[in-house]
Amino acid sequence: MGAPTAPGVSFIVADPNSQAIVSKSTPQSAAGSLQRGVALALGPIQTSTAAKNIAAVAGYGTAVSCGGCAVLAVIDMTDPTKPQPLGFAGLSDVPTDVVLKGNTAIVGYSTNTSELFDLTNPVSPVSLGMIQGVGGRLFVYNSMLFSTGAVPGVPASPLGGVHIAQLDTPPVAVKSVSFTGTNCPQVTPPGESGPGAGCINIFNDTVGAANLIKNPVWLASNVDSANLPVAYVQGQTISLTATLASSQVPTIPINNVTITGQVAGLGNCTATGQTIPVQPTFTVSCTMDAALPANKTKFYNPLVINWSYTIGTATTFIGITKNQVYVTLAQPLQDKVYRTTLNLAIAKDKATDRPSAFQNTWSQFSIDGTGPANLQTWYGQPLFYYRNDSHPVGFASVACPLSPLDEGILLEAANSSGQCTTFAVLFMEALRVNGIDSHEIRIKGADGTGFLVKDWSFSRSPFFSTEPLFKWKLVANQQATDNRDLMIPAQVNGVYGDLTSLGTVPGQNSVPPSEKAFSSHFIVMVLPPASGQLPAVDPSADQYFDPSYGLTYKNADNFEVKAVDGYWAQFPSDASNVFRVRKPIANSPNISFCDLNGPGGPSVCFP
Amino acid sequence: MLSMRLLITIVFVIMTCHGSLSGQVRVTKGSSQKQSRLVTKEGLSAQIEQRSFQASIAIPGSTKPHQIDVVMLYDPGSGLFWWHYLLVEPGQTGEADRFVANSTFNILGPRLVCFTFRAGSLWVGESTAHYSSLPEGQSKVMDTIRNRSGEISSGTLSVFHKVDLGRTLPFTFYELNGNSNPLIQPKLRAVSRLNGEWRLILDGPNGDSAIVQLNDKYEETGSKVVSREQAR
Repeated sequence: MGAPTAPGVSFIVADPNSQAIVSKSTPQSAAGSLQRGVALALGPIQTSTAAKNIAAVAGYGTAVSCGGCAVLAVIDMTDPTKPQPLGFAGLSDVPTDVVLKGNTAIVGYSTNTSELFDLTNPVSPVSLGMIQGVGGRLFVYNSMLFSTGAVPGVPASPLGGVHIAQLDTPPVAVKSVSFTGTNCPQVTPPGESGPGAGCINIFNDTVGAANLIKNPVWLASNVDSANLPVAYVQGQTISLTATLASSQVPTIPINNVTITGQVAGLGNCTATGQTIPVQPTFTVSCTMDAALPANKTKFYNPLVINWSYTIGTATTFIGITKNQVYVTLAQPLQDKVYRTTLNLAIAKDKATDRPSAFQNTWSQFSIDGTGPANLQTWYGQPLFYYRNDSHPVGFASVACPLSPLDEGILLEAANSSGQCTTFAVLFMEALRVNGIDSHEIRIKGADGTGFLVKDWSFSRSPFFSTEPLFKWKLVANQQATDNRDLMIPAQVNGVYGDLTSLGTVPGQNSVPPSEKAFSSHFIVMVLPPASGQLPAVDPSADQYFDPSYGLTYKNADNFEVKAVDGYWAQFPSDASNVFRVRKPIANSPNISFCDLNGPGGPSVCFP
Repeated sequence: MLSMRLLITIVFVIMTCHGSLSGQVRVTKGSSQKQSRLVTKEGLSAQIEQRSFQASIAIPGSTKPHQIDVVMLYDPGSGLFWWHYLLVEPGQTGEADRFVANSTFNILGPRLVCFTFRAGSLWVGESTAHYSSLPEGQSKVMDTIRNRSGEISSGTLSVFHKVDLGRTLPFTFYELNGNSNPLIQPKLRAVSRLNGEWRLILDGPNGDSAIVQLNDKYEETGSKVVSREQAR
């Protein structure tokens, strides 16, 4: 069958078996006419009532919208000897071809476009829109529309070569993405069956658990927030493995496919010479052609990868994937990096050296050294220093053992409430993410007494007024001391005998913290730089950092001035909930710092 | 040991001669309790008498009375008597029992010694007082409270001796690992005599133990941290 034109006849049907022409006509109705055909396609369509064999003919004629124009004619071929015109639609350009895909007729134009028509109601074809870049002669295969620029008389047509457009859903879609890297030692953490994703093992801390983040870190079935982060050291290069799924399994392998993941600023991750197999899924691996930025921290929030595939010269977009990517300044000093710790170290990025990495991390803990920045986990959960909101915690707040350092105790705690060791360890570990080491400092009363952290007001008529030093009586709630606590349950209005607790010195997310009387306190000391390194902190500035309160100290004496309102002790004649308090003595400081990680051991204290 | 006895003697002399304000002492009705107490006497377990009561002290010039809990121990066999007071808040009860429950008592020769651990410190209180009966001892106690009411109500009268373990035992023993809670502290498991010295076993909050040796002046002569199993 074909649609050569003859004077007065625009549509001829021949029977190839009998080699006889069975009909000659010029289809026309009130809706239009076909005066001259250019191309036709045959096939069944599904109307609202029945399947119908039709011919879609691109040519010239008339339609309701135009008289003497390019038209698409739809002709009922139920009886080939009596073709019946069903409908006509005016075309917007010079037609060169027409193909059918289901109920859709695709008309190729001599320009680089094709127009789609819905023939579900063949009496009234409806234009669905244009496809740019595909025109001339058309061919449909596996939901892909191929074209070539066979435009008569126009050998230099921009349609030359083969063009491909995606019809319906993409032929392949990204199902999952895994991140690895080049030049990164992949270590299997203890207790795990293999290394984590990326180049740094991240543990995804949540309440009650912190699981190693493993590949794949992106899944099509996930909501965006469920896709997981990866981490690298500056200068490393991301490698990707994507699992792709064919929307329609091809009947034969499709060779020479190029899969590309494009990242703004990082170039392309290109897998050439790939084959789409006769299987539902297949994987491709590639490495970004640019390394991650050198010598600076970076937080891609998120890293967006535009995935495409290319056959011949036609490139088809197949999807976007997004993952957070953290880039550290140096190899982390710890084997186990919690996601929150990583976030505290890198979320404020663009650190180019140890000092700027230190300050970026410290700024997550402190507002310019004047108070707490109110820490949060990676998912926005506040971390409380002795939680004191509607669910005060007191000394049931978790504490970190002195060794090994493991801030997971706080990050996984159900009440998110920690003692000073947890915040000290969290800060130390956040610094270690960027290769900055530090020491944990234990603070104690030099004479063995405990101390009261600011702020307290003292009665002017203390109970033990005749005593030279320990004049003030601190009375805790009996229920508190019976439970081996001091300030939880709290005393009414904060009145503890001769002392009243004031809410003027906040801790992390607690104003004030629910405990303020301690036997010891733990802070962080920055270490002198190794040979050839920049000091993490200006040597003329404070070297002691208190992540619980967001404060800094010059030395032990300065800690007493800034943080201590009194020293307390309990004597044999004191009730179990009673303690005696003295104020600090001018020029006679009573604070010692003990370097828990120092060469002399944890009991070596100074001054 | 002689100097400690001298100290105790001096304390009692001072208690007798001190010109402190005399206060009115009234035992709180229904507060008196009598029971037996298990102590170590010459290395063996022994039952002795314990009596406790609560009293209020009215100090001249003071607007409100002070409350104290008093606990007394008496060994009928030797006549040894020991007592202690605790300053309590109005309405507060059970402090004497709390104190005794957290203390260890030893009778050795002419002395009754109390060892107790309070907020990170070891305290030792020794008595060499002998009476013919517990009521006689209580009578002396009431005299002392009346005569030394000012010092007692201010908590300054004490014969307890503080032993500073922090200088020899590492904080990693007596503080719960990484924890700043001062009320989690070692427990005194046992006190015995060995080679003419006191030998104390403390169970630390981290699962280990310490053996502390004190001479008869209650000065530390040695200490070491051992596993709980080794501390026997």
